[in-house]
Amino acid sequence: MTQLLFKHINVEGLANIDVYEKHGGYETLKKALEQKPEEILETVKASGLRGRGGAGFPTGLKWSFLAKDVFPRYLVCNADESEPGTCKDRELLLKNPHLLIEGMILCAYACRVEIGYNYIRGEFYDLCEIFEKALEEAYERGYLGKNILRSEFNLDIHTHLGAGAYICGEESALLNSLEGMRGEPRLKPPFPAVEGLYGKPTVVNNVETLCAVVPVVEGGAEAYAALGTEKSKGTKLVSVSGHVRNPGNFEVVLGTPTSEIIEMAGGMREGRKLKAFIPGGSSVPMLPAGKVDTPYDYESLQAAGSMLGSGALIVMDDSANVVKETLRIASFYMHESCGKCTPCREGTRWLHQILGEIESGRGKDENIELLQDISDNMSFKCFCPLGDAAIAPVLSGIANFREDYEELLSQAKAGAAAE
Amino acid sequence: MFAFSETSEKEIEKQLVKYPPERKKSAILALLRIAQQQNGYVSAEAMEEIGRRLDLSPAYVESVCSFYTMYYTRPVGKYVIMFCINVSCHLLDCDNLLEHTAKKLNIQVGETTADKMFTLLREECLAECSRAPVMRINNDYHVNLTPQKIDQILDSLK
Amino acid sequence: MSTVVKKQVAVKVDGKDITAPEGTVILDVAKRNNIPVTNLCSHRNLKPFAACRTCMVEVNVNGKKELVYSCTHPIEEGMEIRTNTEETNRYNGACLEMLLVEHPLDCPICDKSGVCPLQDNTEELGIYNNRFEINRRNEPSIKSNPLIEFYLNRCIMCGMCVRVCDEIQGVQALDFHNRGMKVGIGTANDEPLDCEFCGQCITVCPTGALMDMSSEARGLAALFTNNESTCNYCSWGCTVDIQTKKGKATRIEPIDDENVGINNGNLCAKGRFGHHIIHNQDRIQTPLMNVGGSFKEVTWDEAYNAIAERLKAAINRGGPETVAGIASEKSTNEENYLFQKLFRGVLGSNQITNLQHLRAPHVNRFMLGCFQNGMTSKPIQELEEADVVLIFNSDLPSEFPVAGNAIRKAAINFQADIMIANPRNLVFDHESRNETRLTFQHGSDQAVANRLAKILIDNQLVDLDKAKGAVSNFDDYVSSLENYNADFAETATGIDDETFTKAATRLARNADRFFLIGNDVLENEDGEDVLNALLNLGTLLHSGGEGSVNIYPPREHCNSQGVNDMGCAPEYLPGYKCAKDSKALAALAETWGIDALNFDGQDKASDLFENCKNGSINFLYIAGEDPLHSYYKGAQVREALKTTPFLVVQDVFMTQTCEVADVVLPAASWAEKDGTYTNMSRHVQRVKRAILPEGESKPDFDIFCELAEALGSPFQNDSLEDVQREIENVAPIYKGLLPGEECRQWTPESSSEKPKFVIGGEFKKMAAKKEYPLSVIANNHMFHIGSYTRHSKVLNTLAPDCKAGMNPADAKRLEIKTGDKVVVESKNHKFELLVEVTPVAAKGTVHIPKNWTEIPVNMLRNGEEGLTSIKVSKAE
Repeated sequence: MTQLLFKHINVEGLANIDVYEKHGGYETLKKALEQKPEEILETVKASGLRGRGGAGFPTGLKWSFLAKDVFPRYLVCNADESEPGTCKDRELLLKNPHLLIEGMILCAYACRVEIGYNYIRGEFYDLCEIFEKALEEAYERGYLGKNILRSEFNLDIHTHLGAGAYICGEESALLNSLEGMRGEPRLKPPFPAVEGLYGKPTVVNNVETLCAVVPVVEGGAEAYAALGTEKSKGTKLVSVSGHVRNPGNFEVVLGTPTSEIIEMAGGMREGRKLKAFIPGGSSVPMLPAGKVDTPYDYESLQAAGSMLGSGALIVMDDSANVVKETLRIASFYMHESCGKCTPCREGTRWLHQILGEIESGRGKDENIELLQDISDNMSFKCFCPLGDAAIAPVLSGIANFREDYEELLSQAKAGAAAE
Repeated sequence: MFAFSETSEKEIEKQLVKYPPERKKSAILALLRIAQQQNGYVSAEAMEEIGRRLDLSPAYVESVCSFYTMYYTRPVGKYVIMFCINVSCHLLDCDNLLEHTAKKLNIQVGETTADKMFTLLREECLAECSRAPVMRINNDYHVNLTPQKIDQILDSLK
Repeated sequence: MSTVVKKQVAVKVDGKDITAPEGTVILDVAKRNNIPVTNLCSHRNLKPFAACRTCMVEVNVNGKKELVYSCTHPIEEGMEIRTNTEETNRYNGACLEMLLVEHPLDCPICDKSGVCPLQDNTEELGIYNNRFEINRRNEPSIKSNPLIEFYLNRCIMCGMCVRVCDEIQGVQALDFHNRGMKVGIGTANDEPLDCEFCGQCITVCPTGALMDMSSEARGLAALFTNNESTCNYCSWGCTVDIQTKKGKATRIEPIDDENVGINNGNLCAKGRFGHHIIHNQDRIQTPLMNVGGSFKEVTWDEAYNAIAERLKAAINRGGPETVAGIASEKSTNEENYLFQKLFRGVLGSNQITNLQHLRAPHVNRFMLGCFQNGMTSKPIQELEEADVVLIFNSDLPSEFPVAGNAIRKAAINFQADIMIANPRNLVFDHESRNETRLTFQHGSDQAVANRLAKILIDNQLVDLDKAKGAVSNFDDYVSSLENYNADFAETATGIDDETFTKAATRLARNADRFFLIGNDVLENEDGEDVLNALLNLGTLLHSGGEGSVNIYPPREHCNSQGVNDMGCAPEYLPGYKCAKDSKALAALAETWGIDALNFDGQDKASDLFENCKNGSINFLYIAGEDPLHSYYKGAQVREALKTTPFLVVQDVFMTQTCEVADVVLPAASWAEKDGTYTNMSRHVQRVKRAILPEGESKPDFDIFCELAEALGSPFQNDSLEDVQREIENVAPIYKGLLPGEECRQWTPESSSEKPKFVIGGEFKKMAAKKEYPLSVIANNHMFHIGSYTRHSKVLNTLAPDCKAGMNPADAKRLEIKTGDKVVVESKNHKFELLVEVTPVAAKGTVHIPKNWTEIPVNMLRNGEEGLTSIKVSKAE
């Protein structure tokens, strides 16, 4: 099993710089500083590494979009892990903060950035302390600060704690939040690479993406690109949760069949059968059991009607009711909508209300059509992708598990007739 | 009147250096957090003081404060229990565990116990999904919850 | 910079070929071509928000169809745009449908009904059914402040109030609360609104969620009559809509259209809420005559006859030059024109002036000097496109609040340099990252301007050869600045040279520069020197730099410019023709149909009150001013008015000056008359009658015509149109600008004289006297101008008390705190008032608004040289 990010994850005390160094930590950085920044950028580009936060945008390409010759420019690490089902960044930060720091330094060097922020979700107060301690150690060893390892390269990294808002995981909302505003997404274009933090060119990458930069640079582009499929290179951390025996985070080579990942997590519970799975966090469509052999990579999951997203595999067995789970997710999106644009603010609220009526046995047949119509009015029509996230479970639930809806609707009819 | 304590002032100083001086607005989340750490919640007076520090109007500070869920604008218990109810926890019966917790504390969700020890809140995904069900009490995570485990934790905090 | 020309892009909208500048968003293109596109949250003055999602259009580029939101999607070459397609209507309608679920639909009692985009869009998209469970909001209205009612049930979360408050007004008194379904707007902690009360939030609110409580009549905009006129307060000259219902002026709104007037839909507290001076119980209702110390109501004929008789008597006794008149900075051009015609043409006296000119004749010289040096200044609307704005000793948020709106737009769109030169630490928030504060010691204005010029020269920031070639006395100018080295300037002004250098460098860049000069520069005795220093600084940049210099003279009231344009000054005939120019006089005489205009060269008007005091004026006619309160030599005026044998005062309210008159004539208010005002940037704009005059009051225009008739020399032209033609005739700068409907700026006649620096006026450091260690800064309060606004109930509620602003350091030393009552005492006068301790006040100074008649700030100075020195102590 190829383990790149999780190679030493269970080593006792890995968060300590001595232990990290003993396991080869910061060696990649030392070698990288002997290369030119453009060479590192080329390596990342050639490796095929894609953003691990959810959108899957090619990382090297994103870096190369930075507005030329505009300084200062910023690096922002997105540690606002909040996509339901996702818990991989938390494990990385908890156990291996130096890997992220090393990745951030590599990225900053490649992108000629001198200031970096790690935007950590507010609930990860404990991780912020761990990360700050790791930063201190890295400064002491000369990996951060002025003239890093006598390379004339300078970098400062600061932490910035969020305060409870899912939408801040969206990069432009995150930047607003970092600037001290409400975490509402920005209009795009301009994209952060052109006008990001404080209006300056900014790279925003997810924790896992930045961590992956270390093995990419360490082993070279070719070795990394040799892993995975044509369009999905390397390894991915998958958070398996829900109805499996041993939920957990697993590092898999992209393209591994989803069923194998479920097996890694101990398989289904005793006497239970797989009913549905959400492959990439609550904002991607849920798939029926029949698609469980789909290779776990960007293109295959898309072909199957869903997305890889943040790599959160939520497993539901036959004890689950899709309407109930969809209602739960709808309630989440209603809670997290920033409320700025009409279709999202009002749409998430009506999805929730109508699903609630169906779930509680008060639904009407025409409700299904109304749910689909509200979803159509939200699809690509909201200010930011939150609206699209909110409709994914609704539409996929209706498409793949209509029987769960119909059962509740017929119960409602029966109830009404009895009255 | 609200005034930052000496400890808070030190912490504020540490936060302000992170941002360019003309961008001190960036520190608003940190200052709100510090005010809350100090007094348990963020009062209107505290928001006004934060506005003064960062050259922002009180309306603006409140606008930012009320956007995020982690700031309390009213007093809460010594321990705030944030009980995850999102899908991964939901699949593992968090609803009953939450009810169990409420019963044990003899309050409704959203309330604070009479002795001001506990406040019980619903929380959206805490990103510990593979160790669901999960709750967070102040800054500490508690995972793989069972009724027994919850009882144990709550008893240890009394 | 407005000079950057953008590429034109050709598109088709609904089949119509249109070209527009690159980067324009589709919605703006449609709007400008009168193609309706539904939308609820876009406003030309605000940053794109893109939240309502009701402005979707279809675009086709290279055969590829896309549905986009028109408020943020820029046009591309060859783009085909379709509005109102089945799809766009469906999606736009879906958002409206959801917005209508909770909206109260109480249209019959809504102020916006009839001008409501929610209404219009609902009709446009035919949303007659709603698939959702209707749940109309019905929360109580919030009326916790005196002026702006929050009826948030109608709010559709377009965010325009929040955005205008922040982006355009720089205040942030309103903001969003919470998020998601719970999102709403409000004040901090739901406290009563405490802000500049500009009311811009009311203007932009599309749905009547925010309403004007000062309005006497409410509901249904469609039932009000709109009267487009020009505000009668400050000299910025905002276009207003006086809305009347059943013959009453009930409320004032701006006209939210960039093509109307100079204010682009902005308005301030005074302009919007100060309308209660129109229908007001304090108005003078009939002519009054002072009979043995008390006023008796008389008929107009009685009044006219008495005036005519006394005028003739005075002229018979002492000659025509013993009768004098003070014209009004608040009367229309036409009225002021007739007033000087009455004096010059009918009575034969050249003793006519106005209060600004009497105090500061150098303002007109400064303006003419700017023209001579080639700085004729762009229309003030272009301030929104400024690169550099120098706000020189102007309390801008109080003096020209609407200028602040334009500057903030320049800040957002162009990151304009904003330079604030003021002794006080004014609050002026904006989004530019380029702000320079030149906070100078009170009274050192001149040194500030001269130091900037010296740095421009020493550091060769401008092309010195070019400047030298253009301006004849360049070398003299350079040597006159000899003393203004860094040390000298820092000692004089308190500003370090790094700041000066930064400001000078930014001023020198290729830019459209706007100098806004506050009336505060005229406060101290050195006003002329300050204006000259600024004229020279402008000239240096104009002649040696790239870009433009736009510089406007300080003018206080709505027609302070026009009263001078009309020749209400002893030196100038209408249109600034020299009053001693015999050819000009002969031409005027011919137009007026009189034999000749021969003045005997006496000049009493230049020191009018002194001449009243010494008995050389026998008759004084004050047409709409209250010098007893507002003139800077209070005691001199008191003495003068007492001595003058006959005093006629014409006004809207019974002012202090009226109280000592022999005859008082009731003048109609600005809402009751027609004519024009000319603003500080020389835009001639229409004043329109909205209602009939109160009581027996008459427009000044009618009074002057009737008085001329009573004097036996009726004006040939006595209709507004004819008088306007006459003005265009005698003052060619006004040619084609009247009746002022088009809001155009007059252009000075080209000068034959060569540009030159105005040298002279050695800088004298002014200091407060030992016994009186503080100095007074007096100007208009944010909610008041002159003394009329004190009759406005509403503005009085906002600012009931006159408060002295004191710096915390001074207050601490004197053990004074906010709310204390203090005695302010100068050599000449003393009074008591409340104190507000504020960091805005400059150290060593006390800021006192001059609008309260009971706090006569002008009495403190009484003509004293230098700073007005006072001492302050806690009242017993």
